[in-house]
Amino acid sequence: MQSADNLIINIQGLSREFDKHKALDNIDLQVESGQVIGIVGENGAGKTTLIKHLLGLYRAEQGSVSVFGLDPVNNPAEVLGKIGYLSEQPDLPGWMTIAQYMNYMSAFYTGWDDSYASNLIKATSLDINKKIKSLSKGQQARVGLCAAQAHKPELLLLDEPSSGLDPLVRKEILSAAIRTVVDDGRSVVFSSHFLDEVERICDHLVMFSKGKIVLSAPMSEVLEHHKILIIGSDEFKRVGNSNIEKLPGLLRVKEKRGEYLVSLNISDDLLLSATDSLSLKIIDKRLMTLDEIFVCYCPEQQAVNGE
Amino acid sequence: MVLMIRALLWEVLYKNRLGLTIGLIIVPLVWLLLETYLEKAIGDFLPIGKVSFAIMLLSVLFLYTTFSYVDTNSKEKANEGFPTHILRLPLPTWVLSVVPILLGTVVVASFILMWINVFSDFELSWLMQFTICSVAGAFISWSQAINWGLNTPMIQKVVLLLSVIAGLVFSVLAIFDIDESSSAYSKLYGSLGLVLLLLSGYFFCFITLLRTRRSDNFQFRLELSFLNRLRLFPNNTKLANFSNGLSAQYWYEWKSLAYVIPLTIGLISIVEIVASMFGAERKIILMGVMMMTTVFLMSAHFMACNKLGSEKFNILPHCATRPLSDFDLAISKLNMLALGVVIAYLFFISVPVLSIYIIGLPETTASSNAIENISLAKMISTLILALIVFLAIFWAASANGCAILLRDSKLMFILNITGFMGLGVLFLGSIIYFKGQPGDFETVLKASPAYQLVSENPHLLSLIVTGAILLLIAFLLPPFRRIASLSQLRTYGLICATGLVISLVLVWSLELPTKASAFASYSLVNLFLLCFLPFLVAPISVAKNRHR
Repeated sequence: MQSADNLIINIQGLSREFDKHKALDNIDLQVESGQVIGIVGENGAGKTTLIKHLLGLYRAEQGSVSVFGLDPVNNPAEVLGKIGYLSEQPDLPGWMTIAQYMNYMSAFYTGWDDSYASNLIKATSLDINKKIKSLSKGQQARVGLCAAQAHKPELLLLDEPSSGLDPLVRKEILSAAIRTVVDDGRSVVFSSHFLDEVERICDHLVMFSKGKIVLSAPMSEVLEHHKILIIGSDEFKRVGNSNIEKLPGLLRVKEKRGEYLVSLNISDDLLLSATDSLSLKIIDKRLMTLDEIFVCYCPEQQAVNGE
Repeated sequence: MVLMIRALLWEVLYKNRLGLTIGLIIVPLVWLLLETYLEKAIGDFLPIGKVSFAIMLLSVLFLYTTFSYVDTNSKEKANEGFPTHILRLPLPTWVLSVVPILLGTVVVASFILMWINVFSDFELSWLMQFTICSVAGAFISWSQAINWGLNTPMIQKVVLLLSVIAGLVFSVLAIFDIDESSSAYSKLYGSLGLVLLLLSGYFFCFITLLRTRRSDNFQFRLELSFLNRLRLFPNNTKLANFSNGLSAQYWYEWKSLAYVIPLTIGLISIVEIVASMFGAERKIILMGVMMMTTVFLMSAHFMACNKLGSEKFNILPHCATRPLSDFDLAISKLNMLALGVVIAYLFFISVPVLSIYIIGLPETTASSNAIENISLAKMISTLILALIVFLAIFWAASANGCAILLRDSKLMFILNITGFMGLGVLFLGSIIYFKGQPGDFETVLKASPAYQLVSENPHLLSLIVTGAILLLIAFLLPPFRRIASLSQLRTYGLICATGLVISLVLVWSLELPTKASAFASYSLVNLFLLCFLPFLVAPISVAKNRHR
């Protein structure tokens, strides 16, 4: 992800403070075209702040933000013209009808495809002469998603769009929309609290905690490398806590019903050599779910889960 | 229950603590100023009592707005009307509806009573004071009911509010027995009417809240199907044809709120014309014009900033994420303001003309003599000059207010309010001063302290103002050039320059004395520089607001 000149997003050393609270702390992120980037993190971790930097709604206090090779603050028209954006609370003008809204939005984008927009709206089964304020939150989110897609943007930015959608729409419409965008060689940056959805859709995972990126890797690598080793109590005592803590990629150790669960971010080869060197006998080994990975990296989630 | 009501009272008071403090300290502060300094300085030519009354009215209006317990035009919130978080409290609906209204009424009424009994020279009977407080209470309850969603269409809201105001006026006139007809019955009917309006206001607040809480579909809505058949309102299915994003944004700005400006002025104009038809005096026309000007100046730039009733003028993501430059976004705001200004201005100048057409020209010997002595060409020049200058003043005041509000900072908001309050006081003070002076307008003008001050040092004063504006422009140029190129200002600069040149030619054609002509020329330069200033300030404000 960090190679090539084909970067559509290039963030370097980005930091941002709100009232002495670090919302973003020295963030580096590069995104190539054709990728679906999933951003996850606990509430207040900095996901929305990062997306607002990409939109040019926040000026970089430290570091730099470049989208399509341009600074979104200095070139808002050029950058925003290539972006489709949908926020958690779609801020659509309630006094417009759906038809008026789509017509209004079409004026801003040179790539707006009327027939594509019409098909997208038809798929929602909504009456285009209905006023937006009369729609439910989920219906507004669907209209917002249609408008964000209809100009076939090079970058689709979705800031927790699923929160207003019911599970069916979330599963079918959202993933279909994202795949359509990516199949055309365009990119999606997508923040969500629904980890199953992120796991299903995204090519690359970026995990935030307290304003820092704690994990950034291709989704397949994340799922393959995160493992839990189950070690018996006697074996654990024999090897010693200090030796266990020296295991490469150790995330945490947790005691449960007389057994020790050791969470690691490590490749199979490295794990094999590490366990051999300690002569460690493992009762069982399994891959971690994204939920478990999330809890490991976000200390606040561990507290919530009573761990 | 008592504990919860106390918590609710605390919430309302705490939320409005700043407004409450400001509202309550304005009158004592002004009174102190008048007593200690201003009365000696300006008491000879300015009726202090009327100034104090005007400030009291403004403070009451301010307090009323502060205690208007409603989420108005809040685009961050899905709901408009009664704050939804309060609806979830485990309190009976009647308590939820009565507490905020009663608190607002008590604060406003206490303030009025304080002003009458402590700071003013009025001696009103207790019946009169009680009536005034009841009128305030009834108005607050009805306006809250409407704000909370009693009826939704804007036209019905306006009609209902005007009916309530008319009812209150008739009740008060009857109680005070203005026409001295039949005292006992008149007072009785008036009191009954007032009590009925007060109680019905509370009742409708309760009903509205009950409906909101239960999510009832029951609507106090009139079916205006005959109006739909007449096609008086635009058809929602007809789509506008936009040439580009900027034209779409102009349409958006206009449809969002801009039409409210001419609508407001238009409604006041209708009241004004009706008053004229019923034989109202010149005083009423003057009052109407003053009212229109004040409402217009106070409201236009707030409308342009698209977020009424809040100190926050944050450009919300919907606008901020349009693929338009900061300059284009700012221009779309100013363009919308300009449309509002021009349409409202047409109303503004048409009302006196219509009123004069309906009730005829007043017979004043001095004015007639003055008119006879002036040539037709000069009269036309003066008229055109007055039209241009007034339009320029309206634009400069509204657009500069809008430009600094777009910055969305507390400091700029306070600066804006202070500036407009100052303009309002200056305007009212000038009217009161000129009205109170004997003799014709020219004599009064020449005798005024402002004229004397200016006539002694006209060049110096004007040049100081010009210098200050030019310095400000020089200071703003570097940040502006980081947002847009100077060539984008060419059209707006040309419009202002054309206005200035025409005005200067008109002034010079009047063949005024050299001193007066020079002063007028300098003033025009300053005015048109102020007209141009928003085109520099607004893009900078938008950029600061948009990219935080």
